[in-house]
Amino acid sequence: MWKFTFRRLVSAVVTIFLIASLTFLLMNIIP
Amino acid sequence: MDKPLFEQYVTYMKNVAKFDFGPTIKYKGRTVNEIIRDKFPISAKVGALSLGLALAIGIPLGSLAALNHEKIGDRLIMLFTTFGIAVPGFVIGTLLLITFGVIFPILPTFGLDSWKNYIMPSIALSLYPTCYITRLTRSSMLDVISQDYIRTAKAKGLNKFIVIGKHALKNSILPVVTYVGPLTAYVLTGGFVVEKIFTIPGLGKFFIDSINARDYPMIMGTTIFLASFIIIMNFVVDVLYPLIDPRIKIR
Repeated sequence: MWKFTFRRLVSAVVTIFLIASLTFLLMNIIP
Repeated sequence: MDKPLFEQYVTYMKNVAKFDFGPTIKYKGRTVNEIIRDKFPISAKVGALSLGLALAIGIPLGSLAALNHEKIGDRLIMLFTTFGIAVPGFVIGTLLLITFGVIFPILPTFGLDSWKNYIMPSIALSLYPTCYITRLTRSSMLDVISQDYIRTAKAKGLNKFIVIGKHALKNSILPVVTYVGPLTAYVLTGGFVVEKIFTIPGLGKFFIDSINARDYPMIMGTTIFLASFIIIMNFVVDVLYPLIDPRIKIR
């Protein structure tokens, strides 16, 4: 249970950072 | 801004890790964080009301439809839900505004001064989720009430309400929980168009304004905030699953 929760939490944080990177990239491509 | 792109990226990611989205361009002297902190509670209030409304109406209506399967009640409820899913929120919002704001002026059309202001936005925002929850509850309830244990419960002579409320609803609520997770995030952060129509100064309205004003830090801040919220809600739903249905084992 705790292992699953921890793994799920890590994946959530990583996804948030991926989205942040993507937003940054998109905002810098748009002139 | 004058640094190379990679350096800008690293600085930005460091700030994001601290949940600091920097200053806005449109509202000089204010940071994105301040705006989110100020405006999120406003959107959350309307959102919580709509979510409550959607759950309070959707689940009973779905159960009712399933219990009257293929009868007139079921058909009427399905007609209503098809209408609710097909018609977008801003059309309902505008219709409500014209009906209860102009033709029968009984409700205020803008602002958030009294409890009356919350009625129309909540209805407009909750119509789609209500209909969706109704359909989800109906289909899973239909699946559950044809199971053997429901027949056993009925054969034991249990009250109809106990059979439905305790045995059937508990097992048919799972798809609704799956849907409610991301829905909570979406509704709490503000139905963008609905907020714009009812001129509610919430997060959704600021998001649209920032797009129009090309306020990049604000767009990025609100996008990341919304995305994080949805991801966190999904996480919460995943953790809640085995608590609701012990048959789901986590490996």
